[in-house]
Amino acid sequence: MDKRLLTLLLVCMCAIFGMQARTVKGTVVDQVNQPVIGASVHVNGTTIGTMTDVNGNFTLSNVPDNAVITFDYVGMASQSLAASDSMQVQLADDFQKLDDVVVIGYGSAKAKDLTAPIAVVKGDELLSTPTSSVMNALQGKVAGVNVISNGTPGEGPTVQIRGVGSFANSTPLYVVDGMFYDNINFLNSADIQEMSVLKDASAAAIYGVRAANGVVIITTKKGAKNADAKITYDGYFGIQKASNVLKECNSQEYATMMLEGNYDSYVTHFKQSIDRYGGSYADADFHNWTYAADNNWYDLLLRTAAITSHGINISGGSEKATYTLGGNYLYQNGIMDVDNNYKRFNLRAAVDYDATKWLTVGFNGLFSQSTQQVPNNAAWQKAFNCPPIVGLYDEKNENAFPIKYGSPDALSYTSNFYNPVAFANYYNNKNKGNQVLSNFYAQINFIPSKLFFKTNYSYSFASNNSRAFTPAYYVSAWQQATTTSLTKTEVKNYNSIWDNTLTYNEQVGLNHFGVMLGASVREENYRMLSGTTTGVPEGEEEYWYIKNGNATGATVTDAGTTYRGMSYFARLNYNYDEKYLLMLTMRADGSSKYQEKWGYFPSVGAAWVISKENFMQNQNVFDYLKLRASWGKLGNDHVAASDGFASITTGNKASGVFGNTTIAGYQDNSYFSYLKWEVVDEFNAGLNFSTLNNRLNVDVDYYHRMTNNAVISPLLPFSTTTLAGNYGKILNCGVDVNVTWNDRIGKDFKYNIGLNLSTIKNRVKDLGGQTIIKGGKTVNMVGEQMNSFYGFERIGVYQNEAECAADPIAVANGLVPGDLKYKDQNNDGKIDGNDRVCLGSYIPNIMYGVNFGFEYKNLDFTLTTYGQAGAQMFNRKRALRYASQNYNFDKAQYDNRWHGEGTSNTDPSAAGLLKAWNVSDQRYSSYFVEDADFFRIQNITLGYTVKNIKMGSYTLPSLRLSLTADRPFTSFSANTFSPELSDAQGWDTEVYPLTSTYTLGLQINF
Amino acid sequence: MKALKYLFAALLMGFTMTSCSDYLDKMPEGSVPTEDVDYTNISEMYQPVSGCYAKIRTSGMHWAIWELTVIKEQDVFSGQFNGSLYYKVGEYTYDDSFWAIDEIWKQYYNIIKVTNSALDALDKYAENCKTEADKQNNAAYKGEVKFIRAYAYFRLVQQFGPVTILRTNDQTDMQRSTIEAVYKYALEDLQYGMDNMPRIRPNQSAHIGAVTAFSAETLAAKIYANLKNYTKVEELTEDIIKNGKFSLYPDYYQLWKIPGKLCDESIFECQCTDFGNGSGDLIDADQWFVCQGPSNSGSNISGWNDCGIYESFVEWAKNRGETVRYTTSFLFHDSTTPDGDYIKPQTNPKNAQVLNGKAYTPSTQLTPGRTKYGTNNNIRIFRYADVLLLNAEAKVRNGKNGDENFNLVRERAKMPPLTNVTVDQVLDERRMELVCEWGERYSDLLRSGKAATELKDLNWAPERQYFPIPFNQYTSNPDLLLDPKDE
Repeated sequence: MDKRLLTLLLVCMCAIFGMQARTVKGTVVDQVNQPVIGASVHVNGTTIGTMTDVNGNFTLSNVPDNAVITFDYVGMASQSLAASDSMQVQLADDFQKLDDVVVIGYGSAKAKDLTAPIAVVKGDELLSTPTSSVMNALQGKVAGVNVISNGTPGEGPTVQIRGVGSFANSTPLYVVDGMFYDNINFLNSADIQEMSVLKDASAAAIYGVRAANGVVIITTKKGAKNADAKITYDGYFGIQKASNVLKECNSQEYATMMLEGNYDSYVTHFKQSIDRYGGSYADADFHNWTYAADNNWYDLLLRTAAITSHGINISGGSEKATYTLGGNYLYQNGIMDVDNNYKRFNLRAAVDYDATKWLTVGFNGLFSQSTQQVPNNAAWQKAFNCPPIVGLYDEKNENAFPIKYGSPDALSYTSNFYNPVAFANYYNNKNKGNQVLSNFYAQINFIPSKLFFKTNYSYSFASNNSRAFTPAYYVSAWQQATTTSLTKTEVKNYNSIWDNTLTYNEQVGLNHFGVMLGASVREENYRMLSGTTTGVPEGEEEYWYIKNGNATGATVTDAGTTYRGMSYFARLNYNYDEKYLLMLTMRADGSSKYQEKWGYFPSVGAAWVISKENFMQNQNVFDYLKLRASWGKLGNDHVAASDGFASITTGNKASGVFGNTTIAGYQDNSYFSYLKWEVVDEFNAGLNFSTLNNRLNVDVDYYHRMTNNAVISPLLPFSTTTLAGNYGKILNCGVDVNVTWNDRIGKDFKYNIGLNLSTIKNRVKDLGGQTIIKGGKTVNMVGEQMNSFYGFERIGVYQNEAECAADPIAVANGLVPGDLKYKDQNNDGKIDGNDRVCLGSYIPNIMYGVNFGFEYKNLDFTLTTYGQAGAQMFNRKRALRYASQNYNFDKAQYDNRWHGEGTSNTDPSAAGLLKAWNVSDQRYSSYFVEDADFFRIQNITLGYTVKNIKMGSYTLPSLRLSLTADRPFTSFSANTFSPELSDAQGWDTEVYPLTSTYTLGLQINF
Repeated sequence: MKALKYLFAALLMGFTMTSCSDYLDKMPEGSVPTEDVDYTNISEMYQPVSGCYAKIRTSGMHWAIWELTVIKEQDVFSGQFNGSLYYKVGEYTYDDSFWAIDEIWKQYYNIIKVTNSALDALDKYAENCKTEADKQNNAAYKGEVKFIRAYAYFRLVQQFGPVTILRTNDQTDMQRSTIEAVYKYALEDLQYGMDNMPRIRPNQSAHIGAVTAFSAETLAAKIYANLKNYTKVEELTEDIIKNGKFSLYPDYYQLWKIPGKLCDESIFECQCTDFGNGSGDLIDADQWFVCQGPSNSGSNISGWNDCGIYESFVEWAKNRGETVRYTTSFLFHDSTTPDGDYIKPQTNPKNAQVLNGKAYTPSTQLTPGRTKYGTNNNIRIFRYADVLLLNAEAKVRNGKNGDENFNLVRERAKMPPLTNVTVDQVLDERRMELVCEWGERYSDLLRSGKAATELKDLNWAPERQYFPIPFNQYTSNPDLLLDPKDE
């Protein structure tokens, strides 16, 4: 009743306020007649627009006669209808999303007009992942994007798009509102309106020399015209728990390993532990000894930790202006049982204003403030290595202060051993970040939506103040600090980009043209200033200033870089009847970084919408069918400008001591090479189709990316130094597949199933004439995967004396049963350097994700999974035993050890693990190389929404409660904490456990 | 629409204003390019030389180099009877993939590369030297650098026998040269040093502790000794003794402590300093001292318990009646040092009971606030006692009487003088005086042909006198497997 009255009132008001332009009102509903909230309503060819309210209603005033109004809503097919006073609009489900506007470089386009594979992720899809870093939420969502997560609170993941094409750096370019970033850890998921992942050359080439690793364009939230203020609260609270913690040997198992290995050499450590901490070695058989000290160092270092996030967002707009304002607070506690956490407070605002008929101006600003109390991640490694028989606390450790920690040196362990808990606690390291991203633009519309000029200036300032304080303490001779020490480092990054673009769109009959011309100037600055001193008073953080410490011995250092870039670019679009599509782009990039200043990056893309052809009109297999192909060149300027010492080494390290002082010295390493950017040559062919009534949508892309001039750093002869050159050629090729199925069962049950899959074939194609280049960790061999592990192939374990005696290799090397047996690749009767082969690399061959979701009445559910296969990793944790034989073992080494004929054909005996034949830093074997395959339940979210809650006279539009389990389950076979390693070459020394997060979320629309 | 016109103009400007080309000509921030070293500024001419001394400290004193060098001595072992690769070096059994062997190779070549480029820099300075004094300094500085280069080759030959002569840093031919050829190359460098460096003691150098003509002469004498050219050994050591004004430091114990730094006995020392401050910058040789420290939990007089001394040798020294050399050279567990530092008992029977006392710096001599074993002490490399004994040996071998210089060394050690000393007596004296000093005993046994008999129990064989070429090196440079050339 009320509604009618209101309508009547509105009609009357229209009648009063002028006749020429009328007021249009109406309701938008979906295909089951439910109101569509927040649908965009826009009068074509004008700036007049609004959004529907909670009842799906809208009102537009000053609508000219004969106007056409377009209705858009995400996931529904848009409709354009002639304006009438009262409009009832029904939007149908659209799973193809062909009319969605996709943000592309320096512009936007409709999905159906694209010639390139661009994956779009909406801000809403990011919200279900409780994380401090947005990119984590993309894991498993986009085919071809490999996200390798990192456990430290506040640290972002490693992201690779379509394989690894550079030895130097494979980080994609992030473009946030026009500003270039290498990482976007400062952003909050709720700040983001949408992300476009530009995967191929025809999409990315407009970013020229920065584009080779792929481009992710991020648009922060904007308001909408003629819309009432929309106020949203979004928050969650949850806990994080370590999962998949690798089992280590307990005291008895550790004793078994060491004493079976070499009783005489190691027995004192065990007797000392028993003498000091308790236990018994009365039994004649050491297998039966008992130990009072039996520490599981991982248990001692781990805890369950909280994570919480709260955000408020307000947005809306009038006839001429739109605005949005938001704030978000995130707190994440670390799972290491010491003071470590991450806090971030973000504020964001955006305003757009139609100043005149031909001028639109706008601003958006994002302010981010973060504090990171950093855990001492090296403690994980110490925990991994420290024998369980060392005491956590020890009252007999006379000199220990302030806490009586137990010390490995009490058991005669030497400098490789530390009390891990003390190591984690005597550490106080904090980073404070302040970051501002601001963006100003003005757009001049010469001919509305046809010819316009946009000037856009983005400025980003990020400062990071880090402070590392070490208290005075004593645990052992090598784990002590007689005085406090303090290091403060201030890092500033201030970057600016000024883009000017002129865009012209024209339509002549069925011919559509688009031209965009642009020029861009940018400057990137990095400055660092760091000081350190000792003897700062302990106690309060407020005391910790360098001036309060010792003046003598205080040091200061600084560093900086400035790079400038200047670019011209152009894009030309042509399509005929939305059937034949063509796109050409060209970018000329100038850079101050390199000797060679200018690079040119062209691309071409074409598409054919077959389903629009006449001959396709009488079939009903394909609802939509499009073929695409593209080619282009992309640059990677994330390689250094030169290598070797372009300059001389100075400072204390290069100065001789004469008497009690130094004389300034320098060392000139005359190895030097100039480098230039790497160039990726990429070909992409793709197919999109929809079938079965638009319910099944399939995207398939084949890509072939060849990195030319890849920078690679071989070791110089006789040296620990490497010298890089643009020698390499690396190929990445594969297929990205994205399949979605959307359907309804009955009126209320909507569901979707998605599959994304990408394959990577990575090969080194050329190394500047050499066949193999050895790096510090891995090798590169023509025809093999880049960064391959290299060593002997383990074919078994010697089982008995007869087997050893019969094998000349075993005889020559004094091998005994329980030692590894290596394959004599060249059958020359000995094992030497020529018997080494590539043993795999950390680059996966297949990554896949399967997603399932449904909505039933007020209930919604999503399940995402993610996995990879075909990657190998190097178990450096095990290999490190070469440095100290007393390190603890992982449980699998104990369980699988050879201890008599037939007990194992894969793992060496306990004695074998103490022997250089099996464990050496130079003679790696496939014993240390393990499969890094994993499968994970990435995220499970269950939500319940209540709409239109009456609260007295106020109606709360909606409220949603959700439960999320993020990464609740991961399965893998490797003897590791996580197959997701931060080391790009796949060396597993990280020993940082994975975390599972469980949250309860609340979203309220006011 | 007038506004539009202006806008078009502004737009055009937007496109064109950025095209000034020098916008991209930006110097890199914060680094001084090599070409920009001002070779006319003669006051900075010593900088590349100072850099070479730093390299001796940072590369030449790598703890693993030190350990593998002294473990090969007759009387020193790894410190742990555990069959490790270190331990096996003491039994002359090597694994060519042992990282420490590779480290020796790389670190000495790192020194050689730095000296090669320092010599290039000094050549450039030479072009700008106007005065005679500057020219002399330039030549003397080159002499210092060439000494350091020759020192690196001397050590490489000591460890590996034939090695590659790296005449320039961009050399691609990595074939090795014979021992004789490498020594010839080193001796040329040393001759230049003798001719151009001042004939003073290092502690008299303008840059205190910098090597002098006598340092070069000492190294040359040692090379000639290895080449068994005792005429040259006698000639060179005679000159040092007659003209060098060196003298033995009277207190053999303090010779190794802070008071003995750069004393009149010092011929070549790797210098370290803590600037006399209890905190802040510490310029030291990393783990060189620490690796030789005793297992002594709870004390700053502690380390890794490496470089153990065989108890049979301790017995041998005791039977000779050694006093000050006994207390100085040996650091015993379960005992108190002359400076009052108590070393706890060594409870692990597999670990060395006796360690190198020469590397011990008393806690009372540490700058207050410093805790690292050996902080602020220098590493002695060549000293005058070695020259005196070499001279005595050469004289005896050349049919003369070597008593005088021989007895100077004994006298200082509070040992009774001997008359008509024999080569064997000199070698025994060297064994005692120079124990755990850069593998002197091993070199003595090799050049005197006694290795086969003396090291029989330690499994020595002529084919194992040198380390093998490191696995990493010959697999990346197969040229190394060619027979050495004679040049």
